[in-house]
Parts: sequence; C-alpha cells; structure tokens
Amino acid sequence: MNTQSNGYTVVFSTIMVVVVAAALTLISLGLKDRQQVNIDNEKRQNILKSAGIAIEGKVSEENAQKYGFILEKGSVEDTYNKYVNEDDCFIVDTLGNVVEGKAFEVNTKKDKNKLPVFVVNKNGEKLYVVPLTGNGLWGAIWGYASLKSDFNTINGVVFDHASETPGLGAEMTQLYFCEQFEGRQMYEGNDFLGIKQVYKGNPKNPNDDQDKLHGIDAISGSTLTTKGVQDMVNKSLKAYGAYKNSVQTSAQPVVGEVSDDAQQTTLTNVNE
Amino acid sequence: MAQTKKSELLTNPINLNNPITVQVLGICSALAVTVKLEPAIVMAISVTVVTALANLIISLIRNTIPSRIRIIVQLVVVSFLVILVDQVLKAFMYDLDKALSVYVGLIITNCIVMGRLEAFALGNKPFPALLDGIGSGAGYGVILIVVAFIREFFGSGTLFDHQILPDSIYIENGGFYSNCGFMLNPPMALILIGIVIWIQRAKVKELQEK
Repeated sequence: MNTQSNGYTVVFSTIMVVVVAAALTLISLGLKDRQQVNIDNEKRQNILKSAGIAIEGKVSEENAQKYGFILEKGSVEDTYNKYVNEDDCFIVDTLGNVVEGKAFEVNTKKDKNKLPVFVVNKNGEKLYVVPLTGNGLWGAIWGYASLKSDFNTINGVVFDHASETPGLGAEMTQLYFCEQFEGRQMYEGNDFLGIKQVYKGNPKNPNDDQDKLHGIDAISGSTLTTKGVQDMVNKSLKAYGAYKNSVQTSAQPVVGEVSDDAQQTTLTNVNE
Repeated sequence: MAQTKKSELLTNPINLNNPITVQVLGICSALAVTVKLEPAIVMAISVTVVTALANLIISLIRNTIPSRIRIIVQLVVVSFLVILVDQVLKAFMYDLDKALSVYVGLIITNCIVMGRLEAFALGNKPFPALLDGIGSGAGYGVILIVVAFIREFFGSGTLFDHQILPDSIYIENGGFYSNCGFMLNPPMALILIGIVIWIQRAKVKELQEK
C-alpha cells in the first residue's frame, strides 16, 4: 500500500483522531467521579482553611502555631461536617435577597447572581465564608474569605491560582501573604473602601489607620498579581454589600421562603 | 539485535547518553519540579511511562505512518498519553497533580519524548523501542531524583516531607544550623545540574572532549 498518497494520509489521520478521541472520552468519563470527589474535598479544605482550620499534614505544625490554625486529624469530609452544617449555609443574590438552593453546589463562575455563604462554627464563633473569583496576571485566581459576623471584617483568606509565576505571583497562596488580610475591613460607615495594596512603606504602620484597616503589602515583583488579588477581594466582597445592608437595617427576614434557621442565625449574630 | 545491545538500550541513557546531562534535554521541568523529592519521583515515573508507551506505540505503527504527517502523529500519541497520566493523577493523587500543575502538561513538549520518537522509535522494532523509552525516562528520572534529594535535604531539612535533621541543631533552638533557602530557588537546580555534569564528565572518559 502506498502510505504516501494524499488519500491514505487523510484516512490515517481521520481514524487516528477518532480512536484517540473515543479513548480519551471513555477515560474521562470513567475517572470523573473520583476527580469530583477530590475537587469537592479541596473546596471543603479551602473553606475551612480560610476560617483557620486545617487538616493535619496540609499545614505544618510550625505554621499552624505561627498563623493560628486549628489542626484536625480526621478526613476532610468529617472535619468539614464537624464545623459546617450544610443547612446553615445559604445563598444570597446581588440585591441582598436570600435565594433557595444549596450553597455548596453553586458554580460561582457560571452563576454570577448566586452568592453562596458558608457558615463555619469555630468553637462557638460564627464565621461567614464567601468565595472569591478574579483574574491574576496570567489566568484565573480564586479563593475564600471568612468574614466576622458584621460581614465587614475579614477573619482570614485562602487563595489559589491557575498559572501565576512560581516564586512571584504564585506566592499569593503563601500563608505570610494571606495572613495580612486578617482584621482588614471593607467598609467605613456605609462607604466601601475594600483593600488596597501598598507598594512602599509598612502597611502595618500603627499610626496610619487607613493602612491598618485596608492596606496590604504587595508581593515584590508581582504588582499585577497583587492588583488582581486586590480587585478580586474587593469585587467579590462588594457583591455581598446589599445583603450586609439588608441584615443590618432590618430586623425582619428579608424575603420569605428561606431556610428559617439560616436567616435567624445570621440575624441574631449581627444584632449581638 | 544482540542481547548486550538490548541491555545497553536501558543503561546507556542513564549514564553515557543521559538525556539531561549529555543531551541537555528536558532541563526546564528538571528545574521546576525538583524542590521536593515526591513530585520529582512522580514526574520521573510519569515521563518514563509516557516515553516508554509512546515509543512502543509509534514503533508498532511506524510502517503505517505517512511520513509527511509523522510529527503530528507523534504529537497526538504523546498528547494522548500525557492527558491519560494527568487524568489518572487527578483521580488518585490530586495534591501531587496540583504540585506538578503545568509540568505534566508540558511533558507533551518535553524534548526527550519527541527526540526518542523521532530518533529511535520510527526506525526500530517495538521491543527495543520500549526499552529505549524506559531507559531514557529513567535517565531523566535519576538526575531529577538526585537533584531533588539534595535540594529538599539542604533546603528544607526534610525528605519526603519528613524532618530528617534534628530540631536541636537549628539556630532557633540554640544550634548552629540553618536551612539553605537558596536551594529552594530554581537557579540552584541549574547549578546542581551543572555540578552533576561536571562530576560525570570528570569520571567518564568517553564524554571528555579532546
């Protein structure tokens, strides 16, 4: 057979592509469930980590002490269920109304108007964990922020990225960078200020209130990634503004048909 | 093909014809994944699996491949295997897959894989091609593991994330020792590979240029 003819080349490549595509589809379908379990578990870990709870081995003991993590021994799922009651978590929309649905199943990338809130009970303290999504320098960045019950003060954050530069932008996942967000406030009165990266000087400058409440020390050499982080945190948290206002101004549940439990706990906490 | 020849297919790439130190291929990933031993070993195994199977498959179909599109065919076969490895890692070793991130995908463009396909698999029988693939992957892996061992041991004081050096010798605890942070940076990997090349050339006469 003439393996050099045009006809043969076309037939050969067609068969090759079909065979490879079919094989990859089968493999992908076969492994999908296992992969989804891993992805879900990572999400659970990130939610817990932003609230300062980590699975043993994922954060070293030294770092746990330095950054104040609670280390848990059990599996990811058990630990998550220990701290998070799925029924407490709820979804709000950008107008501040609580909508129906399971917080864990919201795809934040696709559904821009559904904002999930995960409620973490950390030794009696209620923390509200919300997802963050944004763009870094090279690709998507995301993370979770845990807020105190005033929906204003950040308790902790965790970040991840698709393809930031190792050693520079990728440092955004490191604890020393995330730690800075603790205690930062989004609002001043009713004005949204968010966080702001500080290029020079010391953002921990105790004499400067602005910097103390909103300043973040940028990562050297990764101005654009840090700016992406700043935009991500500000944009994502600002979306919850309507909800924050609604729970603060009205003592009544905002909208009916809500898991009453969730609504109630939120309200009591804010009023405390 | 004689028996000795076949064993040479396996052993040659580990020393005399090492992909990294002699052919200087695959340096990029060697710098990136050698901070810790565990990802280095997984990367070494992944590359070995991909080179071996790609060599085998290409060698099996070598007489049917139209020569005008042979590079494309090679790419498809390699991509297929790499996606396979990536999917399996995602399902069973998720954390490692994240640590290796883009580098697993980059096996597709790893010069070692394409180089062996073009230079060996296209012109040889399946079994020798398989051996050549395993040998090349192993040669790459050996360097990766040596470099990762040195970098993790001196850079973090750990091996496989287990603390090896006693806590008491660290400066914080009143000792004299501190981890070498430079070991964790990519330039140190390049320097270490340079040192490995240096030692290898000093020992192996065949490699010395006149």
